[in-house]
Amino acid sequence: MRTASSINDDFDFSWGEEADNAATVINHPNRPDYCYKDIIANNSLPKALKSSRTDPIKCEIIPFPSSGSPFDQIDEIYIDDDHKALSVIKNIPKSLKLEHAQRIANRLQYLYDVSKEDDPDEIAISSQSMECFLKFFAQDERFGYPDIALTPSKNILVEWRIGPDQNFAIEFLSKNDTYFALFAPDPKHPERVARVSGSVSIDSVLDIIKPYGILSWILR
Amino acid sequence: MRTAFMLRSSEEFLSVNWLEYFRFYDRKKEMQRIRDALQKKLRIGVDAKIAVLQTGKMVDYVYNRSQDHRKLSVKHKPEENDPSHSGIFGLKDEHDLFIAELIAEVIQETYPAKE
Repeated sequence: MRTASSINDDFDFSWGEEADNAATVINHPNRPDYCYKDIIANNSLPKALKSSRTDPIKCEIIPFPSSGSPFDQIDEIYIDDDHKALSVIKNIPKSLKLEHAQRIANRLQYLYDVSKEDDPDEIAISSQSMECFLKFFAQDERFGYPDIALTPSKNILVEWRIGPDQNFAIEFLSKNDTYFALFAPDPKHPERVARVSGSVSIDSVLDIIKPYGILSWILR
Repeated sequence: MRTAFMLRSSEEFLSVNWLEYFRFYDRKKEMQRIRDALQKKLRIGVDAKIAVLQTGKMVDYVYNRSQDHRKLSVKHKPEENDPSHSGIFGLKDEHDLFIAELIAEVIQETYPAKE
């Protein structure tokens, strides 16, 4: 453990444009494999340090996460779901190569704010659901913009609806699990409506819905 | 959105209101009474809406189109400050998305929850 003053001797904090955000990651300028953990865990610390706070603040220097995906890195750093969710939302325009990435981020931020306002003591959005949501949208750059909502369980649910009996909804349950419901023309008997639902892994869901022609609605 | 028809993990039924309870036979008056009741117990967002469904149609629609022929039921569950409060019973758990989708299909009208 070190104090902020001693860390200031060692660390040249670069605040940049994200300085006031809880998602700020502080890197050691000469040691990119290290970061300052407690700043990230406490939203008030960056501002305090920025204004040359000198009283000791306990903190811990930890190796910067080295694993692959941005979400894995965030998982290693952040302690609670709310910080994870905020960080991920902020990074969506960079991490998702979708035309509507910014709009998706704005919508999730809105849902986060409303959820937090409704239940300040509860998590706003499940971070596991958020991770699954990102995996889904990372599978194709052509996804159109869906309706996005939160379920009462704080999971993300998205839906594309193009008319009566033509919709596809998917709830992101955990890191790899989804629950979907689709109403679409029956592939073999288009005059009939197929109504299908089920629990399926994030890796399989697109393959499972493909025969129902859903991809032509949800991909641009 | 369909999430309005999904249960919270602690809920046994979906909270709804029985419009005809007041015997106004005037949708505007019914809506106002519902809004008054909801505002006393919930934080109503600016975009929130009240959806109107016909009970019989909903029960039939869900029964005939769900894989398990789900039998929903609606019961009057009056509360002290909300005498028309009722509940839709028969949803399994908080992830019953398919049934929520079917219920949403039979929405007849929507009104702003806040005036």
